[in-house]
Amino acid sequence: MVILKNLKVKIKKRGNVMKKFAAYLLTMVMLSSAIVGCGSYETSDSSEVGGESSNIETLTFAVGMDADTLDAQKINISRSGEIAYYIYANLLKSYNGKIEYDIAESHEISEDGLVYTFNLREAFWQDGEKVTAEDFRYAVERILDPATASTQAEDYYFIKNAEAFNKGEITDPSLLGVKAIDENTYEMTLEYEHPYLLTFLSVDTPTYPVRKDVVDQYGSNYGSSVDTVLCNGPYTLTKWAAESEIVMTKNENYWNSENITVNELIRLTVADANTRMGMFDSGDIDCTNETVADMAGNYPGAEDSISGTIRSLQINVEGRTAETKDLMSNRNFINALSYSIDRVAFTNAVDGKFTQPINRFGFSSFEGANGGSYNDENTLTNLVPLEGNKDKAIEYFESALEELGLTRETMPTVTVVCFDNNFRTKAEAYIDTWAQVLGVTSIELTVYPIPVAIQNCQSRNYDIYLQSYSVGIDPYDYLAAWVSDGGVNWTGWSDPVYDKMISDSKYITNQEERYELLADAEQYLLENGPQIPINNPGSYYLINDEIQGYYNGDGGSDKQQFQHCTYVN
Amino acid sequence: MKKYILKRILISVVTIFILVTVTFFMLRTIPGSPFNSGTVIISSEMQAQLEEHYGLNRPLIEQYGDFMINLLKCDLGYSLKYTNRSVNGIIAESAPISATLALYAICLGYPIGLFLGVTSARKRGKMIDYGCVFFAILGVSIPSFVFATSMQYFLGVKLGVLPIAQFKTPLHAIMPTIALAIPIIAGTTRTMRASTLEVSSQDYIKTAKAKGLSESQIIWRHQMRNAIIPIVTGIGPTIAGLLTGSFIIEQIFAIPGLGRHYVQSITALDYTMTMGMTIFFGVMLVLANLIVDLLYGVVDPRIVIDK
Repeated sequence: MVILKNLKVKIKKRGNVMKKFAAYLLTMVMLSSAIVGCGSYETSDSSEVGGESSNIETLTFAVGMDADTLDAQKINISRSGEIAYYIYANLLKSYNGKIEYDIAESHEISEDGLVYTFNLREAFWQDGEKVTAEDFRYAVERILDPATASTQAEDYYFIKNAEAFNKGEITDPSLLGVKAIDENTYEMTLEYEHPYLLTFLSVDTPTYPVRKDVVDQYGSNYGSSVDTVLCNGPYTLTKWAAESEIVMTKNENYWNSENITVNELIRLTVADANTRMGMFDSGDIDCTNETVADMAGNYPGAEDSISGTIRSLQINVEGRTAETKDLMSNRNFINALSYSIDRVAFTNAVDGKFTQPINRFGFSSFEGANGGSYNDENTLTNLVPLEGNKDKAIEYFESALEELGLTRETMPTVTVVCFDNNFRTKAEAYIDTWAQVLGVTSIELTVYPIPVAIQNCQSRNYDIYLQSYSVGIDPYDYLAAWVSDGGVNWTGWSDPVYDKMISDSKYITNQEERYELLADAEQYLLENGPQIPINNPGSYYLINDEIQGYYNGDGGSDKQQFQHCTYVN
Repeated sequence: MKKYILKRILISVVTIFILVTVTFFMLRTIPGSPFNSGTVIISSEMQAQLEEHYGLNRPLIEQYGDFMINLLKCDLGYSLKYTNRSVNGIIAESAPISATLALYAICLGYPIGLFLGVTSARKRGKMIDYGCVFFAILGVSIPSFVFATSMQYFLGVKLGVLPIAQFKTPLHAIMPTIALAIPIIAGTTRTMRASTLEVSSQDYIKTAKAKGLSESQIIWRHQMRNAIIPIVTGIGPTIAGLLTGSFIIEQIFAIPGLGRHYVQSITALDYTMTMGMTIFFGVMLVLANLIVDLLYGVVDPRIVIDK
């Protein structure tokens, strides 16, 4: 039950930082020192609170799940990534919406955008050994090594020869596009251009360095306890009581330790959300960002934390059965489903005030090419009204029935699949709406545990699936998932026109033109594709109001950033 | 006696073998993949690659063989969800926590339950009897999480006298212990009341009274010993259940015990973990029942087990 709340598929945070990077990278300018605010941390937000601040001895926060592993190359839930963020130093690190240099001191990108060279600073592991370029190279090799069985592997296929190496077609790691030129110079060669490589490396699937001798020493127990982890980050792991408590203590050997203002971080695993809220109320913890939506009213000052997730109704255009195939591939029917739903009313009633109803896939918080909102700069046409349109829905539905020669009574049973968590209420509400607006009674709900639901999606054993999908807020990330051979495109939808738009967008270097093409693709997906947008789920976090300098990320490895927090004096 | 124990252990081994076999095959009939169980959705291709790595695509009977061989070596394998952590390690870490809590709950629950049951029977029809019965019905019918969250709210949040969650000091144990003990107290009270009443009308009690034995001697030597047998019967499964942890209580009080692993490993399709937990629970249940059967002889010498 607890796991189910964290359905972040793979979460990336970009915002305006991304835009700056993309602009640099896509114009293929040699970048060496232009990284935003490199090395200069702002420890307090003086605009918010006046007066002095003091360092924090111990900061306690609670989350719903323990780490599955701290073996950085095998981490596959964001819960573990959040700890790795503190205990491992990386080439670059995300803080307060910016990407800063961490162990890398500077970097260069070749003119063709395919070779990245990182120059490393003097940094040390917990045991006093130097962090070298080889540690970064080995980390990538280890992720891609089929023997590691890392779920991160496919994220790294942009590296030269990575896919072949991961699939065992080549076995020589020296053929991989990662090299340690010398102790302080690390080079990455890409298979194809990766416009957000720096964000990827720091936020999405961070490549934390790892020492081969340590991995060899602990073998299959590496990363499973305090004794089998070697840290090099701003904190070291000092206690890991499974399913209960993780204590991280400031690492004095960290290169930037003077800017770390919280001496000890205690991360409690408290599975029950109501218990977490109670602990916050009684002052047992300073912060929690996994809160109960219904209780938002009790905390007027609660801060919004956007998750970067798109919730949609996914249509299996092949249909679950031969009978539903015609129905599910009928555009009028899909429009009828979409127009029936009053997204605003639903969001208010079922999801709470931090969730945003949507009728397209672009994020309104994402910055467009000209500095405004991406959605405002790239308007689409014929969008379904957020409040829905019942008359139009019925009109669409009647046309669909006519085209297919069906009546409401002869309509085949349509199966909606969803997870057996709080999605159930939502799915029931949609089905109820369709019954009321369209007069359809043959839409049924089937609720499965997550793995079973996913299996049913993979085997196309559904008609409609209530989906929550988080990739990144750059429009490309979401749109690219629905190309014909997309790894999670379990909809049966395949359209060469759309595929071409998406693949073309990879080679456009002008950001404005790129966004225009992506907006065209978005329009195309809305009109022809297998997804009906519903909302961007959001929630709120609670933090002790005596603490300042906390930054709540969008939900990647940098979800909770406490390291520069201070007390308000 | 030795022969009896030996025979029972032999039967237990067979029972557990059947349990393991049935669970193993039934578990695999659940559709879905442990690698696509919610936290990260990976592509079908990657999923197939991982299944191959962990040998999950091999014939089931082959996997079963491997599992049984490892089981003989007492190796339950590595968890599929908690990468790099062995099932043995996880059980060794969490079982003592659940066991400690279980011990507290038993030590609190049974004596109080027995006392209330006997008192209630002796004061039959009086206010105190109604009070006990009312409490027992309440305790049996209201789920323990209601008590748990109410205690959290009043004692933790409102009054601030007890810590709300976690399992660190004896103070932390108070609320979960009470929450676990309430159903035991209630159940024991009811059973004990009924059986004490039944025993009170027996001839031997009248004889004892006629002999001029004191009230307490009658209760302790005659009534209690005969009335307690139904309680002893139930004690085995209760102890085994408590040892393997209570999912809900552990969840509410953030206690890192076994209960959560058991439930979560099934929903996450963590095959190795589910098998490990099932075997652990099976062994506990069989052991507890064996001990209870031996206890019968102690409680009531008329029950002869050595046959």
